[in-house]
Amino acid sequence: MLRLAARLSKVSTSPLVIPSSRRLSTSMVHLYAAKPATPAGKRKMAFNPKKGPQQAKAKKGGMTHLEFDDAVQSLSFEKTATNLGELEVPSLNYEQLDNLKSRVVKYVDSDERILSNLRSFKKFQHNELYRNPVTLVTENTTKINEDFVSKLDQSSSKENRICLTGTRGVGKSTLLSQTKALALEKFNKDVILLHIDAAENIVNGTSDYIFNTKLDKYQQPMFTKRWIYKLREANEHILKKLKLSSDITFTYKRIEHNLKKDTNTLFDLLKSNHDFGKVGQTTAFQFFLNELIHHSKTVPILLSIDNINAILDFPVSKYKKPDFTPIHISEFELGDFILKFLSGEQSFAKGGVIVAKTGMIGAHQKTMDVGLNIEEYDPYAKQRFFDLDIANSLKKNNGVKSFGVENFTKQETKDLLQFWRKAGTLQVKEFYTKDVFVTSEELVQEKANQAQDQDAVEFNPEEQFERIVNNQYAISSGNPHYLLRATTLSY
Amino acid sequence: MGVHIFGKSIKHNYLVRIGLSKAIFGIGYNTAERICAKIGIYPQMRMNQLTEPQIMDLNKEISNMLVEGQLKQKINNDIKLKRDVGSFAGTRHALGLPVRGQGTRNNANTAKKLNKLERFRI
Repeated sequence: MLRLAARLSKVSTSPLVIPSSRRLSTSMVHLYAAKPATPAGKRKMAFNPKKGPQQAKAKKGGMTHLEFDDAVQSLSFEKTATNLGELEVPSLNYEQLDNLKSRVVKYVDSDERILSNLRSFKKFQHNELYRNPVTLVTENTTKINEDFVSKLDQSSSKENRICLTGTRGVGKSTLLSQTKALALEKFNKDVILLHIDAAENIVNGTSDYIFNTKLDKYQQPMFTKRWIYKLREANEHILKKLKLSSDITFTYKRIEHNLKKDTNTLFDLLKSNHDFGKVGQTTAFQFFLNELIHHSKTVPILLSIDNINAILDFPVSKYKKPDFTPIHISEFELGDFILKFLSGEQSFAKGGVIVAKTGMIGAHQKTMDVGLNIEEYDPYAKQRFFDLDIANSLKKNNGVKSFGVENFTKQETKDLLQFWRKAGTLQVKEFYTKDVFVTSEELVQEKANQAQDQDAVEFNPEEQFERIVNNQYAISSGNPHYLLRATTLSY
Repeated sequence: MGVHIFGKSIKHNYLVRIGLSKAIFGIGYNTAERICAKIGIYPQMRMNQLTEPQIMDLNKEISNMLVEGQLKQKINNDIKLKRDVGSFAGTRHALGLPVRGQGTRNNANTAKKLNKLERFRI
């Protein structure tokens, strides 16, 4: 109490603190004036002469700003990946295809360059695992060889139309690449490959578009120009051999160019004619197409399109007419070209049309399923799920054949994993799952026994590998995408 | 770097349809898409890809529309007319209260913020 009295006397003399009934307390602490709290954001930083003025830390740049799938492609990991030379991987060979069954193969260098120019190797295939893209020769490969590649020089493209179908990740795009490689090998590069790697780019609004009043179609100069560039790079060898069948005159940079029939080649046309990308009405693509049809009597032409359901199942594009109505795929010059060759309305004298669906989109769409006779036509189907005209066009001229791409068999899975093991992609380590189910008590007992008798437990890599094969095959059911994810991408 | 359309600077990497609707009062996403379709600008085109004639076309299209100051003036005039004729809506505008039957026991903050006789100062 004495202390409190002394404190009170101090408080009354202090000019800062005004004693009030609320502040009068028996606690000592409350008698002092509270220090004003410093706002968190305005804390003063004292200058420290030893440290000097504090500088902001320089931001460390990451390897990339891209997400995983894009990153592994753009970082070019394949340059430092396992060299296939040491593994003695055979090349995909048309003649020796039967001997290569169930073996991992690489593409012949020149073929690989061509396929690469055509953007056949996709980012989600994880080709960066090895120095060169590799592929497994499966039952699908031999079947597509018999059903399609062997007919390329024997029938017109009208009679040789195939659509690859199957679940996501089953290897439709890979089979498309194998088909092209087999065709190149079969004809010793004397085949014209027309490949569209992502058909959705025709309708997704990423290219400019202008209306051609003569053709009554919309042209897409940017897309056409890029596509023609890829075709020119990929088919240089054969295009240089093919002479023009008619004269053509065009202007580039105010200079008139005249290409003469039987003198200049198709390569000259694609090299010097810049009208494909001209923002104005042009018939350059039609001229090129007519030339291709003319030459298809001597040289087989393979038209391959990936992600075809992006345009057939979703035919209404993102583009709009001036009156704000959406443009249908058939109203585009390129869309019309695809539909005509797919329906057999137009045809190459020698060649084939092979298209592949993508499993990423269009699970509820009906157009392609009805067109390929996989599903019955439902007259009450809603317009956004079903386009009758396109379904009917697929059925024309005996229809497009559906080719169901199958999962790997167990043997194929084993062979692929064997290759991965040899290449160091798959590590065969002690595996903790068991063939037989045991209770936790039994497991503890087993471990105790192991601890007692070290020599009795021997790690057998072959048995372990067999167990991994069984396990991964069960997980993925032989689907290459899930097999890759389960085996190499998760650890 | 901005691209100047109708006196407004729009960031160079904006999509044209987004940039127009963000920058110009009176143009929303749908109107912007309609303008682009009319001129022939593709959906994924960006501001820095516009050519000089396309910018002129955009300016021409937008100048024929009721946007920016003129639109704001029209809105002000409409509110003023309602007040002048003595309508209920006009009174509510003048009082800064909700016009369309909303309750005022709680909230009504948007109305208190916006509903004035002169909504836009021009």
